[in-house]
Amino acid sequence: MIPRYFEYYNSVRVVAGKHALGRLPEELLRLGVSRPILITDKGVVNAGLIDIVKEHIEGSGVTIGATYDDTPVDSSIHAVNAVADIYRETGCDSIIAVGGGSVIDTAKGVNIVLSENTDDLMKFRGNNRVRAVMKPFAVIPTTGGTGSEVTTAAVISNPDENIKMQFTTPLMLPDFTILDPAMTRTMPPGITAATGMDALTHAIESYMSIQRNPVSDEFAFTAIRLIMENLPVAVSDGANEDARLAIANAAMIAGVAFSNAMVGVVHAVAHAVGGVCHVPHGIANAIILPHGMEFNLPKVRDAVAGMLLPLAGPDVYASTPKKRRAEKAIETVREFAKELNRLSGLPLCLEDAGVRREQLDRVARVAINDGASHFNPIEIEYKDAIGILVRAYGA
Amino acid sequence: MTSRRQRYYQIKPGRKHVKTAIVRLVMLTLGHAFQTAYRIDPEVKKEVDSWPPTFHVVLEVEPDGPRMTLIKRNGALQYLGEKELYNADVVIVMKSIEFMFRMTMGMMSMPRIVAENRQYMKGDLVLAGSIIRCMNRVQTMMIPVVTGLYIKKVPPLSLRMIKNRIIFWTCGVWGLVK
Amino acid sequence: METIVGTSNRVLAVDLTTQEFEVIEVPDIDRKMYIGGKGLGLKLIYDRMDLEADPLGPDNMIAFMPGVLMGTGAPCSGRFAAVTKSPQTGVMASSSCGGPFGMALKTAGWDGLLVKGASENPVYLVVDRDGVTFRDAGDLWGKDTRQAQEQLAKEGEALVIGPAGENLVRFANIASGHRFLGRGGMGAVLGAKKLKAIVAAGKAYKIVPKDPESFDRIKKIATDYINRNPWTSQAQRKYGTLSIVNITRTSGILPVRNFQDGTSDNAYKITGEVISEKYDTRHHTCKPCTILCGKKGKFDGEEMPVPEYETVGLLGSNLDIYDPVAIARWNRLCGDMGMDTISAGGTLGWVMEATEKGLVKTNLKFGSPDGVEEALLDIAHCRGFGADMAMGSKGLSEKYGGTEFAMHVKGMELSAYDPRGSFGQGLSYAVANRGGCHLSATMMVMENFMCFLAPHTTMSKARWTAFFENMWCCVNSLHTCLFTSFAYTTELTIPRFSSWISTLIGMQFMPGILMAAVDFSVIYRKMWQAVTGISISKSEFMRAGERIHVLERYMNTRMGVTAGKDTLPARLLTESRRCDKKNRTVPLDKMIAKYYRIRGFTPDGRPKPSLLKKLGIAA
Ligand SMILES: NC(=O)c1ccc[n+]([C@@H]2O[C@H](COP(=O)([O-])OP(=O)(O)OC[C@H]3O[C@@H](n4cnc5c(N)ncnc54)[C@H](O)[C@@H]3O)[C@@H](O)[C@H]2O)c1
Ligand code: SF4
Ligand SMILES: [Fe+2]
Repeated sequence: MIPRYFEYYNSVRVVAGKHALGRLPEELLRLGVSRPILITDKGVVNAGLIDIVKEHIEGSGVTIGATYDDTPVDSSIHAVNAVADIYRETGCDSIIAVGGGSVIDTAKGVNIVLSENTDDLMKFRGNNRVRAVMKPFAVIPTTGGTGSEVTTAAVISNPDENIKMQFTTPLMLPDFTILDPAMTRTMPPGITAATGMDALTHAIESYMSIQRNPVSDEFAFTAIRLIMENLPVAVSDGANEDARLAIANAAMIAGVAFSNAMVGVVHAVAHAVGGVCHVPHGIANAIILPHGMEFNLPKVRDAVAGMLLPLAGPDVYASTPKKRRAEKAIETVREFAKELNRLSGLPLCLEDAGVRREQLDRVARVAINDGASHFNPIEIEYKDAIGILVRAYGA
Repeated sequence: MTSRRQRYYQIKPGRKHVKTAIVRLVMLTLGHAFQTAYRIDPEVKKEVDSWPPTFHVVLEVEPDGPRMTLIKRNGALQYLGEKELYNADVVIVMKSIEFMFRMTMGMMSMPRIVAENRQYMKGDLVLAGSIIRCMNRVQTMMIPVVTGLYIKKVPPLSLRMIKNRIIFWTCGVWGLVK
Repeated sequence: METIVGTSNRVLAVDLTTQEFEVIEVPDIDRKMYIGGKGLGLKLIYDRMDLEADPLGPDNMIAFMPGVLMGTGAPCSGRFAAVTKSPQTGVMASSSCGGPFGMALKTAGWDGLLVKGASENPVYLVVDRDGVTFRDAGDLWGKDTRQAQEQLAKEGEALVIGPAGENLVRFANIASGHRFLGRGGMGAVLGAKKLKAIVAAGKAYKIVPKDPESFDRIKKIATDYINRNPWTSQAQRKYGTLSIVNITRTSGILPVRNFQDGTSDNAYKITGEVISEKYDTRHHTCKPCTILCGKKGKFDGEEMPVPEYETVGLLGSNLDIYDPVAIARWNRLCGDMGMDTISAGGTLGWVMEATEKGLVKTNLKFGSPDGVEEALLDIAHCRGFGADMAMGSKGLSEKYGGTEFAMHVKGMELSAYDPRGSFGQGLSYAVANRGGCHLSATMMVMENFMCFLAPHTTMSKARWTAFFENMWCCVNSLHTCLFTSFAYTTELTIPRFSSWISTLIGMQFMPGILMAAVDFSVIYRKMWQAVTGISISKSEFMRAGERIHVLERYMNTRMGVTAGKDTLPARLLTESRRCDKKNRTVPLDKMIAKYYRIRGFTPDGRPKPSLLKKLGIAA
């Protein structure tokens, strides 16, 4: 399918593979900087990942000017301002984020604050508000899911005003990202499964979006295939470097796909479930995904049918009659989640994820206001959202 | 010197007067439609009531084309013409008059505009969804028959909608429902 | 209790030098020509005072004038006026206040209090139905306005000055309760007279209107209007004047960094909506009042009055500070010291910019709250550099240079509306009788609040400025709160049922027709009529307003005001705001020439003799 019009952008240099981290100092020096601030969180430090980074810069001329490891889950404006202050005090010249989506979003916020030289992120809410020349910025993801290393968006909460601020601008893209299986090896199976499902959701949703285009479609296909083949392995055998690398790549590729095609109903609802009931993003996605696909089916039957190929492989695709392919694709996604459930205890319904029934109403109200819903092929109304939630509630 | 100037001639931006004028007129109607809808359409009222008590929405065309300013304040949604606002809470910016014109003519629906990245938003994106939903209702009220050209999902025709259309096209367009 | 029907028409004239007093009877003709309140106060002074008098000398007079409506229970009528020659501007100044003193003076049987002369030692006055007693104020001198009022509470309702007034700070004010006669430096006038306080023991008379039936009828309509109008019943009642922050910051007329900019991204922190939610605000108003705009709140656990919009604009955004708690603190400090927050903020804004430019050496800088509190205290006590700051931005800039960014007109600091986003307001600042005052024609309300006039054009601005000046002169003479005009003018049948766009077209293109067709002053006029029993027509009433305005102008021209002084700070005429892409400045000359023509002034700004004759000001 060729759309009447599309845009594609991705400027991130990707350095991926075993021992890819070794390239970190060189890439930094290439950008003309040698004193980065390192932003991370406690989980990452405890997993010993910072030590790995340290090892790789030894004897390279790069000094870590400061290390900030207090990033909260779901980045907050306070952390952003704190990091920016430390950056200025310690005379750093660039930013490295080592961690999951929360850390990366925080780092993106820090980059805006520093580059615009402001103390107030509020005024940059929205699309393309940032105008300044950004600081050199590198990302080393440690979860295989959000794809934040290649996305143009960040979500940062403002606890004082009790709101979530969304920022999108291509300027926020890092200069380079390093995908090293060593960085994701320590991820526990539960988080591996959840973040992997987040990546799968990115790929599938970008393929259904109204902004999909030939480039993003190609990325989505590859990501889906890689995840279906490697995620169960990565979950059950965390030390398998090939599987880890494949998932890291898949997450990044899915990130490119959805950064250009955007996501839809699943993310809209999952964001709301996360916001209201504090269910981790990946888990919420995994639960909502098949229901979201079903909801969109009337408008995007062909696309869903097409996804059966990467989801289930050519054999199944060929043996399924054309009319049944879409349903089969959804079926495959369900089965896949069940398999992960067996391997890692990934929850399969909202009830298991700790959501209370009386919260559903609030969730639905938040979901219809989520930015992701603009790109869904079908308009999402309150009754649609509540329908999806009710179906996703019990097994 | 002159000959070089003539040979390598300059192209000035120029203006699309007719399109701008049409868009201006449509925006005037749309603004009044919002104002009216807040009073007579319970769904729009519900949406708007969920916004903060004072809230500024601007729909504008870059670089300085027509603009539509809506302010929710003092318990009403007020259309205030082309009033310039600084730091409005939500600004929906159309990147060029051409596509605003196409949208107003039903040649391109709002979702298409969004998908093709012909617009962008400044400010609180969380409420943008609510604004777009209002916009859908308002357009349904404004436009009978060809509503489908403008929005994703046309709500089923109801008696209330017919009544609202009549109220709008008799009083609302003049800004009399306020 | 005895009753006064209508007005007592008795004004108490006190001479501090001789410590004597007399009673002046107001003739009916003056009542009809000058309405009451401010108008009558001007007339009393015009008839008695040497206009060349030194504002801080014994010859200056100050009149305190409760209005005609006070005591009758009309909506928002708890306000009184004061008129004097201002030490800040050297011309006439009038001010309005909603404190309890006015009601006490009125119910003591007086329609006004005129003070002249000067005492040698600090004194205070106690006014009751029989006249005045002079008391020694030795132990009150030096106390702040709250302490002084507490000490005087048992004797009646007080009007006091704080240390700023005692030390002749040019923008010292006078406090009554938690409200103030804010502008024009009236506190310094009392300070120079060594008059620390005036106490009125009221409740001697009951005030009833001459025509109670029609008064009740009109009062009911007025109350309905107020309770129905969204500006009065929602914006002002819920958030107070701070509801204006949201308007000015989005219209680009909020002063930021001494008027260098017209809006700030941080200004959302000081909007009424945010403050009322965060600091749990409650009503704290003049009495009686129907609109209820005054507020108090819990700031850091301490109950304080919520600053008014102008205070937040000048002590807040103008200094690039957006911390409501700090602003509320300074607001209360200014209140305690007895000085005007607007002028204090404007002066500090100048000092901060001058410090930045190296003209003066202080530790004040934009965006930093450090040192502001000490600076305010220094001003009030005229300590160190504070003695210079006490002269206001005019005095400072004449001494140290930097007049182009001294934001004052005729010596009075501008209020928190930047005229570059409101041209009519620019005109009204320039020609306002008391200097940089936003209340003389309140054009920003039409241009930016209600948007009935396009703000960035000069068209029709002169006409409306003159019209509103006249009308507000009437309102301030009645005397009722200016905020009632939101309701009384827009809830009338024609404005109410016409659309915004048709009103805009009408006001912009056919001001004459609108002024003739709509009786904007009807509620005010009928109220006055019902209370005094004197009948007055629409044109007579508006003529009275014009008379009051022109009389004040005439007095001012005799004090040295000419066209040259009707101007704006250079910054507003030549520099544009950072936020404004179109780089606008105020096209003042065009509007002023037109304004003089409409007013019937000569090109150098003096009322023509024929005008004075027509209005009956001079024979
Ligand atoms: N910017 C975007 O485009 C985008 C897209 C999707 C999600 N997000 C945001 O990302 C966040 C979620 O990110 P996430 O799912 O990566 O989770 P996360 O960053 O919140 O991390 C989850 C937990 O896993 C731990 N962890 C991370 N890597 C580990 C490792 N290798 N070994 C052991 N523990 C490890 C962390 O310490 C943390 O406690 C959300 O805030 C979401 O809003 C952003
Ligand atoms: S509206 Fe405000 S200023 Fe006017 S009388 Fe009431 S409290 Fe006082
Ligand atoms: Fe996601």
